[in-house]
Amino acid sequence: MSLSISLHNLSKIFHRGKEAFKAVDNVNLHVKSGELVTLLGPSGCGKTTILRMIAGFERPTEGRVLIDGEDITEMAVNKRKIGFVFQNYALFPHMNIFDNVAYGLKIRGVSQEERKKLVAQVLHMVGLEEVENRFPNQLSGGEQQRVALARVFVTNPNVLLMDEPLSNLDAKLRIYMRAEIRQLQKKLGITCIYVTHDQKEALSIADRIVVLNKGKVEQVATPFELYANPATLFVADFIGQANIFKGQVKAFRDKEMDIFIYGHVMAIRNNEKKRFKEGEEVALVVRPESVRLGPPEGSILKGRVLSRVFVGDKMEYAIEIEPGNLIHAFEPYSRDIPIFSEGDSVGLRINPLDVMTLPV
Amino acid sequence: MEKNGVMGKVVTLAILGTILLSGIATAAQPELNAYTIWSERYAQAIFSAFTKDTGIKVNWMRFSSGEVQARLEAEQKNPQVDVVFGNMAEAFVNGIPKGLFEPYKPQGAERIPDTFKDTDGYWTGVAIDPICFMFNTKFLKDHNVEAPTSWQDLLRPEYKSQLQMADARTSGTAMYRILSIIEAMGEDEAYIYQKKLNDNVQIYTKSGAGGALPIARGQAAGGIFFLVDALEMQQKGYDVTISYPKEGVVAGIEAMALVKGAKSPDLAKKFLDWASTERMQRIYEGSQINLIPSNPDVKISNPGLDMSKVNVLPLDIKWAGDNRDRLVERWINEVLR
Amino acid sequence: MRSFDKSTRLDPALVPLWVGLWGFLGLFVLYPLVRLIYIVFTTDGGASLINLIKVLTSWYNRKAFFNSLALAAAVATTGTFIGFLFAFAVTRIPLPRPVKWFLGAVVVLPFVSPPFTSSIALTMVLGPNGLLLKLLHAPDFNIYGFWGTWIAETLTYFPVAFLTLTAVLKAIDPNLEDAAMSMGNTPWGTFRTVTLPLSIPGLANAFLLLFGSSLADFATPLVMADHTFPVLTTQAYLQITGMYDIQGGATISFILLVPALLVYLLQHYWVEQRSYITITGKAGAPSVVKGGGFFAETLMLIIISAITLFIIFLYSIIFLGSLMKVWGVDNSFTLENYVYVFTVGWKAVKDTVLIAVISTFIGSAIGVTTGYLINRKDLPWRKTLEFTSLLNYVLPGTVIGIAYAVAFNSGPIVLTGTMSIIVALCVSRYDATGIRATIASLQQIDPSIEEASLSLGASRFTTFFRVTLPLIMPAVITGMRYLFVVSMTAVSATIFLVSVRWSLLTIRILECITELLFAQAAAFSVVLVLIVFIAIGAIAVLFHIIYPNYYRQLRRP
Repeated sequence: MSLSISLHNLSKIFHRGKEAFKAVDNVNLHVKSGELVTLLGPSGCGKTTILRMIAGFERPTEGRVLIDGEDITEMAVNKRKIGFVFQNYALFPHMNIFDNVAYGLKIRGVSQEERKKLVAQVLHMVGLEEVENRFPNQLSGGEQQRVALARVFVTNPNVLLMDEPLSNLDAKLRIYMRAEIRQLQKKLGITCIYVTHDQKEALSIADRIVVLNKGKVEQVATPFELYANPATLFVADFIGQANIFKGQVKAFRDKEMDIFIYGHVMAIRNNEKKRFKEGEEVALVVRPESVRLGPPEGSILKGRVLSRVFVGDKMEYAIEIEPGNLIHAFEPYSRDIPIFSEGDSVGLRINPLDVMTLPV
Repeated sequence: MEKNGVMGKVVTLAILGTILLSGIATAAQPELNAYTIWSERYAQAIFSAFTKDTGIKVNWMRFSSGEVQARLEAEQKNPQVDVVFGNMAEAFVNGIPKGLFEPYKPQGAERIPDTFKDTDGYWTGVAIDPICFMFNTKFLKDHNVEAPTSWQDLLRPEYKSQLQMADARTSGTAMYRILSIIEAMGEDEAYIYQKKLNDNVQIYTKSGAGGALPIARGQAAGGIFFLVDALEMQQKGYDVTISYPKEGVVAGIEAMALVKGAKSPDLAKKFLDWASTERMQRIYEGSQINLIPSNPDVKISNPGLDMSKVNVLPLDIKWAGDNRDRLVERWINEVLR
Repeated sequence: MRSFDKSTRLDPALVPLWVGLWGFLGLFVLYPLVRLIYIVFTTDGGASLINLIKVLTSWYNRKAFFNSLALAAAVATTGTFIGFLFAFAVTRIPLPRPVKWFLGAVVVLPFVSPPFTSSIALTMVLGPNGLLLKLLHAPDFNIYGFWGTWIAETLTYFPVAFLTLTAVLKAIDPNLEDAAMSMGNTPWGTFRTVTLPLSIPGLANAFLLLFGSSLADFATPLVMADHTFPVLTTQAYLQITGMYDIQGGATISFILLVPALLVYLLQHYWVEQRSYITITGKAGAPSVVKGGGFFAETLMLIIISAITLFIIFLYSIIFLGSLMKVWGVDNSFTLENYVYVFTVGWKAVKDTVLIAVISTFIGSAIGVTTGYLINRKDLPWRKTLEFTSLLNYVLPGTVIGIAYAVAFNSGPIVLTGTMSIIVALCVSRYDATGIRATIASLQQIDPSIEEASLSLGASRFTTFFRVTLPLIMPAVITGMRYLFVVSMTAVSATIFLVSVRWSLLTIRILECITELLFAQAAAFSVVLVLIVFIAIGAIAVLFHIIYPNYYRQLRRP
């Protein structure tokens, strides 16, 4: 049975000697039953601290944690019926796989018969066979990861908390495992909060993403929303790549604004969430994949190719429009798309609909 | 199920409890507890004889004279023993004003001469033990020297760093050695003499008999001891020569007393009564304990214990007891320095 | 306390343990010391320095003070030097494994044997008319006093330096020495410019450790130092037992307390912090063992062999002596000394073993608990707890013994003549090693392992017993071994606490020595050493029964 999680005004201050460091700043969040929400952000943004507060490993300085409406802020760790998967798996080195996985069952007083059955079942579910008598140090990283999952799944937690579970695996395995985890989570329907610093991972598995920066929530939205409609500059820059320009609002109309930029006035669609005043400075965000390159004649924006990197599926260009000012453009690599070389003069074409406006 | 706090509490309480409870179990002792300065063998002989005769078990511990005194003082408020058996008389005298003992005149002590008893009955003498010289016979032969017959003989250059004797701070033997010298030549002279003697001393041993074996083994030439310890060496088969200074020696009185505040005073009294009888003093000869019995009715046959040819000087025990600390201080400051 | 933030409060489940621990420490560490200070600094009800002045004006006590310091410095120097030689030989010179094992075993001997025996053997061998002197036709020289005490203490304490320095030498990154040699330096040059400088904090540490040990040594000077060489420990004892002066003895022991404490603080806060070597880092592969050059190595080996042979010789004397009728005179073979030990001496054997066993269990429990609590970062007054729990270990036994005698003989809690006072003393004094080993071991455990257990539903208590304890077992075992050994061989503190009802083997040995029953003293010593070895073996066997797969599991594949 999976439950909802609510965080109310959650804050955490760490004291180091005389200094105080606010790791989590007034976070509010509601996770629905069965949802997989990722906490995403750069290191030090507070995502792990939030997770540990939900688990009970840290006590909040302020605020409350509720599971299924029940305030568990003061509840001891071992009473919370949560499952926690650690970054380094934390398998008990002195017990074999069977005992590791059965640990939680033994605590709950499950009979030996039942334990044997359930352990076999869950190991099968995570795709491991014949490992029960081995010890953690005899398994590979990926196998240990699955044991950690099995250990947690077998106890039927109400809520699953995962702290960068895949960061110790190699790239290909990571991609494979994250899909597996997502599948299992969906199948069992467990509410899950998943911490990661890898945005690709977050984008690929989450129902919703919470972007955190310096302890504060920047935006909570579906992956697509985040990508297409970032609420802040930080989000825009953090998710995907972004070219950011500063311009000034010349005129503000219903559906469009006139922005003065690089000596030209462009009409850009409005940011639905924010009204700008005339004369206000505004940030324009353009994704590199929205920038088209062509011959310089006839383009408002012109520049010179500074560098070019081929990454397999696309060509990544850095274009200098004026000294010190770069625009990144990604062109998919295919036969019909012209390739430019370093030093070439190019013109840039941007569809105004692809331009996002954000407060500075 | 709040296991955390409960278990923690239980464990800590258990530990503390075990420690304290075993201490509180100072139940009434149905046994006699005693301190003695006699050697293990001697004390064992006496105490087991007592147990055999009366069925009362004895717990005893052996210390040097000074340690016994210190213990009694430390334990004054909570005495750990009932009797002190076999300590020098002047130690008892020293302890009377400190309130360590209770007067009790044992039955059977009537036969013991008054010089060997405390007038008020605080202590009763059970044995006499004179001071003597004991030298390694081979050493004497090798160095072509006669056994010393005068205190001045000990100052001979042949004995440089070759003498062993007891430390005055811990040993009753040392006290009697000093008293002998004082009685023989007067107090101030005695200290001048001892300072000279110090040059010949290899080591001052903690216990009275500590130097006996090294001398017997030839690690040192000789020393000053109670007769009982010197005779013990001879008995064991070592070749040692016993002699006496013509100026005279003092004889120590081994005594016993009832501890004030004893937890089993009746058992203590029983013991003191038993120990005053001839029966007890006959154990000496029987167990080859070379002490001279205080009871003149107990005859001895060992010629080594014949004091007729020895100049035994009289000793004012009260004076000795009262001045003990001062005499030891003088020894530290004038002899050791 | 820094903050009133409820999130930094101690986990309530641990509060009873914390309270209990402080109760124990308060009663058995702080209370006796307070009583001691009280008796030193008061006369007839008023605060005064009279006692201190009286003691300091005595020329004899001043001499003792300087002697104590001088002896400690000398012992620390020679002990560290010899310990370093042995450590170097074992870690850097390519000796065959059995030889290394043998050296290690010989070096352990002084640890497990009662403190007097080496002194006595030394006297028999190097004293006046000593065996060795006779054999070498060397002139007599007075072994008593400074020289004898110095030699005896060096032999007794260099194993401590050996163990410390072995760990230090093992932990030096071999890459550093490799780098030096790859740049063209000779083995001796490498030793001089790389190994030695890096060992300096370790050497300083060992020096201070030995200094403190010598300062506190009571047994050796009692036998070996004579009236020309008084030291503070024996002086304090003699003041009480010879001059019936408890206040004086307490005051002298207080004077001893000051340098001992200083040395400890110096060692802990200055030297230990400056170590260049992390002991928790991975041990580098000793691919090529780096010696110090042929000449240096040969010299080292000669010295080491000589000392090792000498130690073996001394212990053989003791063993042979126990089988003789009368030491020195009647060398006929007999077992009557052992008969004596197991009949007349049986009470002491029983009492000592019982006390040692009880102390070991209680001490280990308290040691592990203390180590566990100190290791937790959310504990208030953590540093104070650590310092207090180590206090009785740091201070000389004489001080603690007198403090206990003073504190528990009168007043609210009377424990004189009981077993519990001896057990409490042993526990509060010797669980320090267990505490330190536990802390070091706990620091190696990834905290996420305990968190995993909690998150799977186990209470803190269950987590401790099922997960933490098995992982720190080696540290616990180390603590138990140490506790048992020192409880069996302790004398400097316990000499003040024995009574008619409880006797200790070491005190019995001292008595035998006092009564010149050397053969019996030797027999007692041999029996004591045997008991210790059996106990250590038993603990190891027990461990393997409970955790048969322990080493297999934790070894890397």
